[in-house]
Amino acid sequence: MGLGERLLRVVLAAVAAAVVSWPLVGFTATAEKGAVLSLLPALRIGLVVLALGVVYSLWLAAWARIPRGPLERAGDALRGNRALGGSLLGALVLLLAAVPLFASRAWTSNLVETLVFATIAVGLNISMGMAGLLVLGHAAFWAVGAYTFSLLVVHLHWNFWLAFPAAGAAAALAGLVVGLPALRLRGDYLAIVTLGFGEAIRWVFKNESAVTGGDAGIPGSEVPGDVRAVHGPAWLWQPRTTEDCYWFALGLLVLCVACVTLLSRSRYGRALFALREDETAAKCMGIDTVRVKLIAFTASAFWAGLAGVVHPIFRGQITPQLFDFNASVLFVAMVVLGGLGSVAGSILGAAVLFILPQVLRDQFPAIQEYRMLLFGAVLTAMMVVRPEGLLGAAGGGRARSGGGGGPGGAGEAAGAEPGAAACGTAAGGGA
Amino acid sequence: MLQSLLTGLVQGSIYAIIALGYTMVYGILVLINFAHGEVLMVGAYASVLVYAALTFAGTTASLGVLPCLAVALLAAMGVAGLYGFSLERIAYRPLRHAPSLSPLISAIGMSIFLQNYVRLAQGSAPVYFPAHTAEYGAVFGETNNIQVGPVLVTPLDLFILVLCLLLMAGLYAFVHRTRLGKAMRATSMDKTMAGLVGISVDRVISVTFVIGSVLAAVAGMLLALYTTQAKFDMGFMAGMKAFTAAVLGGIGNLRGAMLGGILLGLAESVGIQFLGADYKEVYAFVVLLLVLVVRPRGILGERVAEKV
Repeated sequence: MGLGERLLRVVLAAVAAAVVSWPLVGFTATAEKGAVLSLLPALRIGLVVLALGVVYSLWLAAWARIPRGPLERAGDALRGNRALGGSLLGALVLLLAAVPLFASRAWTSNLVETLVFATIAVGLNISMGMAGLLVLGHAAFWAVGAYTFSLLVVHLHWNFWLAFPAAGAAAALAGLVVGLPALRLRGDYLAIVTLGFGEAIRWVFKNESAVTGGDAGIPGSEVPGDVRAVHGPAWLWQPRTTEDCYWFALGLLVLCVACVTLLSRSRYGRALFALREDETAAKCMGIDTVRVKLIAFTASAFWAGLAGVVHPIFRGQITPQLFDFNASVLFVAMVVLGGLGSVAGSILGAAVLFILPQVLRDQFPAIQEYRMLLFGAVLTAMMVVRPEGLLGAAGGGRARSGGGGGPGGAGEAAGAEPGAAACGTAAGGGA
Repeated sequence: MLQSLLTGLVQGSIYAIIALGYTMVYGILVLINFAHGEVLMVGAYASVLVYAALTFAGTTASLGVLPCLAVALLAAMGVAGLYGFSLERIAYRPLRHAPSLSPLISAIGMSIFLQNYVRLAQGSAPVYFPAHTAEYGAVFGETNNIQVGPVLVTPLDLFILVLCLLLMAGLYAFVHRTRLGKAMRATSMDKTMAGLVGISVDRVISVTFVIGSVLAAVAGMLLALYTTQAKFDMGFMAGMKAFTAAVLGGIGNLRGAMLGGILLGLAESVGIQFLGADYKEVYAFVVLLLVLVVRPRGILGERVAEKV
């Protein structure tokens, strides 16, 4: 498509946007003012679309002229050289560990949540990215972890280091219990069952207020206490401040990445990839699909449960609202946006999706109102431009990929074997 | 008891109408249209705005309530159809050959976008259906309630039931009796083959989205009538329930969606009657789980042989 044709399309799109948006933005009917019609807002929307479209077209035209060679060669060199990649990774972790020493309090706490979400996304990647199971209720396992931890500390005065693994174990158990009946189902049927479980768990935490504090949460008006309290020996370190939480969350993420990377290179990992590509063929090769699925599902839940420990300590309180359907959707979006099956992609996805709204809020207060609007638009735009995800290898999920179809014409990451994607640092190709 | 069955039936038939949109899109694209609830919300807004404008202009008083409702309904259908069409063009068509989870995320993006777009355009407070006028009361007021044995039927219940039944029958006839309906069925069986025998697959997909959105608009207006308001986040719960209903009946199956919707409505109102309202939102999922354990592909879902 030439620049001229693209610009023509942009103009058409702008006109269409103005027409489509008019009934809702140009028309109000209230008891006080009666019905009011105006053309201005719709025109403004048309102009915004026009401006964005022109900028995008020009950018695409410019992008096509940039020689691609050096960037790709650098990416290849990095991927080929394990020692270099490893030391870069080590340096990155050290750099991240030093962040609380120089970053502001606000940024450190933003990053704590990013690290937690990254851990959950990497965990979810086991069942979604590797095994190809769509899970729409992952927040439930996060909630089970967070509540188990808080309940054990507040009601039973457990030590942090006892309650922490217990949270993971409880979430894994929940994963097992849901997984057993649910894994007979395929694809979207499984998705809706996990969704139902996610909602049901949230309602249990909401309604059984005598134990869980109801809407007020733990600790709240109904269940007083302190989740940060030290029970047991005082010399034993446990996270209490924001900085502590940061380091703890970082450690958890590193541990999670290490385990998931090892898993993806193991027998089970290969079985999971086989399952994702073709369940029937995997079965024919002698893979016990139910067992493998159950392991993937339970492992995902386990990491979400462990990650659930951070929020009670970090915020000092948890409420059921934190674990709603939007959280589950956010996790799925992180994994898919980053690229199914890619560990580095999940982390990147989590960082982009969590930090993007924060940056929009902090740096551009003028568009504060439009924050979520932009978030939704960016989510769609990113998928349209790069359907396989930021760091994804082509061909994830059930459908076999048939070449980059988006208007950006994103090329497929060339023949990277799924397991190798875990090493990450693929040079981003498309726009 | 019988009264709660009626409530369930009325709510269930609204769910069924929404579920039809999900199931039609799923049947053809194997895609969960996450933004379907938002199209419903857009339709609800359009109908409330138009009807309110007519009320303020005095047209409802001079022309009567039912013709004005019809105008509002048509406007809602038009606007929602336009939104459904645009949605497919923007968020789904470019991703038709992408990995299967990508359109889902793109749909979630559109859903967030549409919610916030309407919130910004119309405010986060609900807009109210002007249900307190004399002419509205003359048609839908308590004086017109019908007592059938122990059950009290309100005119609104009757209106909703009749409209939903008409729509379901109409859709069924469309899909099974017209050329375009036949093309839709063919496309849902096999997109490539349908293309090879001369069906314009893109057009069929567009039509499917428009029809689903038009149905959602009707459901949106009925919900706005039932709760006398439209709010920017109303599409979420309605969409969730309807999606559950579609899966319950066997997703991709029209009769399944209708049956699933009505069963879901009944399960919910009976559940509230006997078990209390604390877990109101959960009954639907419990029923779903029980059904799926016995029939993993829904009540009317066929056991399809896996293609290898």
